Amino acid sequence: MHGRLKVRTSAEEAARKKKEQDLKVKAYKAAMGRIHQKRSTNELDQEMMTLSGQILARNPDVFTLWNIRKESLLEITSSLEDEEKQALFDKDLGFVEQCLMVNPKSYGAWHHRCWILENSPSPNWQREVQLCTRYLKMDERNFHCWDYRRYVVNKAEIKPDKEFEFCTEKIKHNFSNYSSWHYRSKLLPILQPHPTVKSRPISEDALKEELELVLTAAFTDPNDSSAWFYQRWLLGYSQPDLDIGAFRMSKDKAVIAFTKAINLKSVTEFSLSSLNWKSVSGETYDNTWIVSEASLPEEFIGDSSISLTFEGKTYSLELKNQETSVFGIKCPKFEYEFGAGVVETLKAQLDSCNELLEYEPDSKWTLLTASLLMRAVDRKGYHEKSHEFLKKLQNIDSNRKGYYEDLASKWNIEKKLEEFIESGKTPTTLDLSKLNLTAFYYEQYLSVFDELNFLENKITQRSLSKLKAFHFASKIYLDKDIV
Amino acid sequence: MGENSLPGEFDLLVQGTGFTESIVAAAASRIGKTVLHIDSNEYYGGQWASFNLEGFQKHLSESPNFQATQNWNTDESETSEWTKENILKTSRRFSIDLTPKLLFSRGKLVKLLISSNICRYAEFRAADNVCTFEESTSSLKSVPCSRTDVFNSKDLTIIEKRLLMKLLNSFLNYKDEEVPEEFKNYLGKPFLEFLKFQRLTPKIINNVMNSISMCDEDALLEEGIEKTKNFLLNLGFYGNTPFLFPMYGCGEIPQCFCRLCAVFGGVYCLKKPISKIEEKDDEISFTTDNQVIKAKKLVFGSSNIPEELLSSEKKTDHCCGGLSRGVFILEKPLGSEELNSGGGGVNFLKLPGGNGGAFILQLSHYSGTCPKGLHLVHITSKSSSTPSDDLQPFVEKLFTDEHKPLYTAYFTLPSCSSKVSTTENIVECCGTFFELDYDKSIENAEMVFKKLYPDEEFLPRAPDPEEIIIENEDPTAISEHTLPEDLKAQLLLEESSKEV
Amino acid sequence: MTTTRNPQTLMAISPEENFDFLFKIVLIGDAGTGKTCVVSRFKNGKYEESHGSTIGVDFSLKTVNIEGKQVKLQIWDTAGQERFRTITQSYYRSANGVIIVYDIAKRQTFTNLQKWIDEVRRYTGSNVLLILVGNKCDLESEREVEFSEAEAMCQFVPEILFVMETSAKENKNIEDAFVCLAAELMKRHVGNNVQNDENLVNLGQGKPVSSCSSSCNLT
Repeated sequence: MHGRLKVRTSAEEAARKKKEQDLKVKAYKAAMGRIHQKRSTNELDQEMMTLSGQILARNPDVFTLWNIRKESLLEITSSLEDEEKQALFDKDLGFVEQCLMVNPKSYGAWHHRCWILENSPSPNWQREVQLCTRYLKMDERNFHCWDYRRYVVNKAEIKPDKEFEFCTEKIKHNFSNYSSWHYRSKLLPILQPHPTVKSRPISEDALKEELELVLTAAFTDPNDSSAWFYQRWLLGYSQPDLDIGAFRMSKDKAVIAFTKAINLKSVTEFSLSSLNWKSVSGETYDNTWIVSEASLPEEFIGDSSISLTFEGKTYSLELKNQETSVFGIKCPKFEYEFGAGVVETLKAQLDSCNELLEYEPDSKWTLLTASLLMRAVDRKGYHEKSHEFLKKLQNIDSNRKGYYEDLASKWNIEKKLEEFIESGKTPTTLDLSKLNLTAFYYEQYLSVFDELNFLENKITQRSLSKLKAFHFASKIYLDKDIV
Repeated sequence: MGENSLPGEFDLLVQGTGFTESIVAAAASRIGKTVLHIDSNEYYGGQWASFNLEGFQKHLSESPNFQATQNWNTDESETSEWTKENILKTSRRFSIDLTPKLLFSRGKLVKLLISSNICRYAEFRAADNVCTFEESTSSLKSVPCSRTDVFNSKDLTIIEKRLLMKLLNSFLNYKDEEVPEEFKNYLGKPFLEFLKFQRLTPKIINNVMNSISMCDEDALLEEGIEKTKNFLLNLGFYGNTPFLFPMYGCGEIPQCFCRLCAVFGGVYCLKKPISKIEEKDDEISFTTDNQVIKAKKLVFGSSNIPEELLSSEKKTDHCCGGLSRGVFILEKPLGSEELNSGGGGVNFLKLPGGNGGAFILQLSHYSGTCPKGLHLVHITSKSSSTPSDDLQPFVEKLFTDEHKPLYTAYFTLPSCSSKVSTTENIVECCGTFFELDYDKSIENAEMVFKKLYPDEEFLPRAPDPEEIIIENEDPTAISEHTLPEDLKAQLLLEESSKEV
Repeated sequence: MTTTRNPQTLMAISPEENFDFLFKIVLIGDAGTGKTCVVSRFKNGKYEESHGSTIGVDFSLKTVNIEGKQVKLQIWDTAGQERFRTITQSYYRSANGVIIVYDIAKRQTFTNLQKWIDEVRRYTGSNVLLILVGNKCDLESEREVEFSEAEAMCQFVPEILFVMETSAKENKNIEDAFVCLAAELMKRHVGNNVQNDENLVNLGQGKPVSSCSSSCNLT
């Protein structure tokens, strides 16, 4: 029969592919050879652009070629007027786009794009933003493109609210996207800063909305960690405002502790600045600074407060005069203090978690969220309950047992510290025994105690470096068998 | 042979260009059989055809076995945009399916289209929404089915979101080998009973029952699991639903198979009735336009087979056809603005009811089946009396005063003959089935093909043009002529450097 | 979208050759006007004397370079369905360009053009480009259609972009016809590159994995 279908066998096809590949290699080598030859004689001309273009269009990751292209483009345009120059740069932008279609994650191509724009007489940043939008539509997790977007958005002076809208759109489309949550956490503090408290990144209204959004994501897919990270950012309290946390001074030693690391050498109006202060860690910045000298100025014992100025702001701490030392301590802020509106939201979210726990008592994500929410709503009232959840988590999520134990340690130390401070006692001894502690927290506050009892805990080796912060402690009780 | 005469002999005559017989024609042609594919109609598709509006009206009025009724209810005032006349002016923009369907994005038809390489002849649109009818508000709501939908849904509380996601995941991970505790006690019991025991909210139960699994009330858990799982496994390929709709209507699908048949040498004639079919010595002869043609085997489309070729033996498992159909043209689409954002798309709704309920499809101009500004609604149910009576409960629910159809048509799709043909070499295909996708029709086509050619492969992949060896060409050669320009230029460099 | 690489040369082996534009062009016209020969001449640079299309060949692909852009043409042939005027509507769908071929040595193929134009109007989108090709211009002695008649026809059919006489046998104007059509298509599509309607789904084309990440699975 006429024209009965004949199809290449796979062997024939492979042979054909090989021939084609050989030809491509041959062509590639020929072009590369010519490029190197031209470069050695510094012929950075149009042919160089054509050749490098032909190869890069197929292999956008040959870095040297991008460099050659930059050199050639500069050479060719060096004597041109802006208008002609711009036309050539624009043409090269078109070329880069072609390369990005082959590989949207090519470092070389994205980098070259930045370079072109930086060197263009009149770069069109708006167009670049649109390009990003298009590429992020194809792959919303292309972090090269997210990075590039932040760069061009800045140049194009796009308003953050427009970007926030874009970000929201992306999250609606797929919330498993670290890049867009992260971008959100950068935009919100600009768009909706907290009106009064500097350390709070965003306003209470924005916070309420974000909490709902992120809890929805988390309830839809508890296994998605990107939403979870964002929630931690919303509720978290990682950077407290700078303040003096504690102070104690006796005849032969002194300690001053801060809420966060500071360079004590650069403070002013500090009455004790003449003393030989050293940071516990030996670093320039530290949260605990000590003096250990044989005799300290007698006359100081008797003052009722200390104060110092750092970067234009004055901090002070009330002191109490005791028999052999002066001492002061300020209770640290363990969490944000949320306004009533946010607390209501948090309470509602806690209710949702608890309701869900009736259906799914072993849902680890819900347990953790619930315990964090409890701390945010009423730390003291929920102390036992939140610990109970952490205990449960240690069993059902044994992979992250260490994390839960550390978290429980932190909460326990917070509780003891708070109780001590509220009692108004002298810092003779702090009993931190039998608390299942695995690590030390708030060590700068512990620096003022004469005696610290850590017996019957599970302190690990990795925490021991923090012991040196305990400046006043003449006795530290530790279990023998620290691993 | 004369210009308009046909060759005198074929391996296979296929009469009718409906979905099933077109697959058979393509499959036979694909394995090298000579195929004559003809239709007495002047259009492709038989019961699976699509028509423009005028053609559709004409077709209904000329098909006595369709029990068709048609009715216009347009606003004829001067200010009205869509008068009857104006709508008819756009007739060509319509592509009205006799048998509208949706394809599961990894369903039997999609797999067949891909495996046979016929997919290159068609384009699809991902269905935009799977809907549910909310009794309390008498309105259509989108059913969140993908993870993205659940996240964005405003109709579910966060607890419901968690419960729904958890439930869906438990179906998705369900394995027969290790039945989870919560399922064990309900195997062999109604699906609905199982759902009710799962501490779910009524909304979730309704969504899973009617929209996701599309189970009847008395379906057992096993069926519920299978259907839910199937729905979920088809998600995530295209858009936010598990369904695809063929652009320009389902009538395109049979034509794709016909194109393949033609590419492999099948000969096509429309508007070509045949007569005088005789079977003698394992060969069939028939007359068409005064020409006598011989064929070794003969396949008829549903209900095209002449009486005299039928035996008295009844077909077993005879369940095609018997469908009640409604076609409605609306100006204001069903459902909220959100459901039709951007001008609408393809929205799907399964309504429960006796006798299997009904499939409802609403199409906007984006589907290529109706003009911009109008919407086409298809309703399909099993028939038990007249089509309008059968569809009445659904029509009353959907078309409130706001959504009065401008045009309404009811008709019935008949089934194939209930009897087996007189000889092995003559086979009749079934008509359309009451199913959303095409699974049963494909099974039927494959069955017919296997009956005719028991040892042959059914629709193996058609090679891409580049894989085909033309005439006497060296199969391993690559033609420099077809090399990309830039490679040619680079290879010239190589040559010139040699010359140096 | 990932690219695989040849470890020796570090050359990317992209799944498909790179291109800036992709256009679907369909050929129609009466049987025997030489449509298949026209395609074959353009695609392979050869003239194949034999009649009837090669079984199984559905369409041909050819990339042409126009003003530095790679323009890929997907050229569809009728698969014999023109003979009894049974071309499926789906053949016309999503075509960007249509080439109607007639035989200058056979008047009937010219007088039938109106029927083909009607089909184009009925089944293609409104922005499709149409060109007219009078093939077999090597048969000058048997000419039955004057070029001026074809030109006159264009006056009455606004959809027709241009008319050209070609010879597949003598390789006359074949490349030009395709390249002119491609150039015009490119001109009209600049700005909305390769992707056209993002809602359209073509099966079996190995969607980039990333673009289904939004809802790939429930877990």
